[in-house]
Amino acid sequence: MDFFNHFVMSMQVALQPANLFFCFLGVFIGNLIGVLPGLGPAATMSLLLPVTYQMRPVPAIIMLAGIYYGANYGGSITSILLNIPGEASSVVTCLDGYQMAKKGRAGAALGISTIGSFIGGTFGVVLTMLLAPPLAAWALKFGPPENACLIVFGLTMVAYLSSASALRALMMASVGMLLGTIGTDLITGTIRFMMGLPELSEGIGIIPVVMGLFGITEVILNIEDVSIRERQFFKTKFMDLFPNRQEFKDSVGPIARGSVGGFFLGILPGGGALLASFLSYATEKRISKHPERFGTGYIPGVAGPETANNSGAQGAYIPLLTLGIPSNTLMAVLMGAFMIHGIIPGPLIIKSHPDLFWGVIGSMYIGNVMLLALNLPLIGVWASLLRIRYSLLMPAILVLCLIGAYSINNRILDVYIMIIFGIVGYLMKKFGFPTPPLILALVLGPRLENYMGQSLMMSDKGSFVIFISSPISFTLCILTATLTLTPLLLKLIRKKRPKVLKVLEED
Amino acid sequence: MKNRKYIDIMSSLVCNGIGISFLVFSFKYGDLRSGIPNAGFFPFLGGLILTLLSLIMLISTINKKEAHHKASIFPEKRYLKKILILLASLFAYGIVLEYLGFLISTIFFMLIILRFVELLNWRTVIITSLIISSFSYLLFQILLKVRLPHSIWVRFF
Repeated sequence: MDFFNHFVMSMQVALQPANLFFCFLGVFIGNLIGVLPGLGPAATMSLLLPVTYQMRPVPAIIMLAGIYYGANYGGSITSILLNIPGEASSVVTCLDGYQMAKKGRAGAALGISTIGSFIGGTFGVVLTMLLAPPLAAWALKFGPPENACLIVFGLTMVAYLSSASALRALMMASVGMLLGTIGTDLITGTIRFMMGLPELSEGIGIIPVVMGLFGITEVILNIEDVSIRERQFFKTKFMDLFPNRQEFKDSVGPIARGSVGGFFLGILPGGGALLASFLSYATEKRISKHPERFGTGYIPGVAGPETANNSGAQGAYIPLLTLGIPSNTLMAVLMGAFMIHGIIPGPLIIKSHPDLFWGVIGSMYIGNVMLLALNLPLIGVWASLLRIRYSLLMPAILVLCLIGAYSINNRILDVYIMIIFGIVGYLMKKFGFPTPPLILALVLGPRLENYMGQSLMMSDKGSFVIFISSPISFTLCILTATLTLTPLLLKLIRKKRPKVLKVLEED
Repeated sequence: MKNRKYIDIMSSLVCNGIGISFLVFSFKYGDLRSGIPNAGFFPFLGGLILTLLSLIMLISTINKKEAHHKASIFPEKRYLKKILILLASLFAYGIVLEYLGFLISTIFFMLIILRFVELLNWRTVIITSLIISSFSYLLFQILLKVRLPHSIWVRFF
């Protein structure tokens, strides 16, 4: 009964004409930037954030949310037709999708990708509707110590899942936390690390940093990428879009598994569409009766990951909407959008802003329907956009980023911050340092500092024991410690094993 | 600079430097010995964590056996030149934007990028610059009502 009432409420908000329009705009823009190389959903959401200042919160968040899951639909088109992933979460689609295109089955690959994305996305929305209210109710028990431990656990998990080197990821998380201390301290009101620039009293801001790390960095990296300028792709007709009976039959299992697995992987900090798609491909290959067919144009290699990445994209909204913890960079940008409108995402949002909470969830269902309608009949139109030369796209992307950065506060400093972080992002990519932990720590660092400060003020003479005094915070601390120490212990065991074997041989 | 180990050592030293800087400057924001955290506490903690992690990276890199030589991670000369032109243009854009205004700055910026980075012919460069600049102006200034900077001459008159 609750589910039905929530569904009705969500539709009442989402079906309002203004919200419908902005939902369409968001998924359209998301699909477009998913197709076009160079500008990803993170940079696009940052670019549009200043534009939403004048909008009401509900349509603004609906539009920005639509960009994320819309991009996952568009990203598969370039993966299949060009062997270039439009989005990071579409990387695995290249493995079998492009091979299917080479065999003349591009239409079937595109069709199953869209259908799987729709099923995964819809499934994710339904599960979000079911799980979000009880999770938010549970999160109301969290006080400052629990919230502080949750943020630390979340950042640690992101560090371990986002990069092959957890050490480098933790270092970037520390850098992000330190960058978050620039500006005014929320507890004491002290202005820190201004470096002689009064504008820095408001802090660095996430928008120019994200635009730099994801927009400018990408442009610099693409200067070295010859393949993005020399593309050969496959044409396809609308009538060829549907897989045959055997292909449908082969896709049922991967779609079902991708829907469920993708959603729960999306909830994990550091999870989301990317992790879901990779693990889905690995799982399908492992359990398949024909693992040797993966990589040769086998449809389960497209159906599973594409379903999982959309289901994962929906799951990624849960930590942000219920706990106030963004699980990846895009959710961090969306969190910035909430805060710009004076709303703190978290467990109280269901009660304080029910129209926003349910409206966003309802819009996701409608957005997935819109994307199905946009992608199936209009695949030819999206594919034709791939003909636009990257040489012409690149300057347009740069201008959008420059104006986007300037328009935040109408000051040049934000433009310079963006350019500097563009250079930093390029060096990070070259030196093997991951970006997501830095972004998340930049957003969560001030909140962590606030919760730590409140916890220590509540405690007896600033004792840190308060962080292990409740069952929730104690459990989170144990989980964080386990996550941190397990790889080290495994490394030590692997080092000692050869010595043990040598001793046994000598005996 | 082609040596990966050398690069890892340099990057760990840079992170170490950042950590130590925040650690040292955090003392400026008050007494860290009191039981209640003050403005210097969190930067001190963050700086300490970064310093320790970068030291671990430095030590493990030094102890690591030299891996098989891999290709340089830095761009080839022909790409490096384009990257430097791009970066110089971006900074120059920031400098002139509030003097020349959005339209003129953007047109000049496009001309440089399209001609010297993307190496297109002048006809394509000029047409594309005008189209992108006009479209951006229409989109931001007119449609989205974002206040774009005008030239100082326009403001003067």
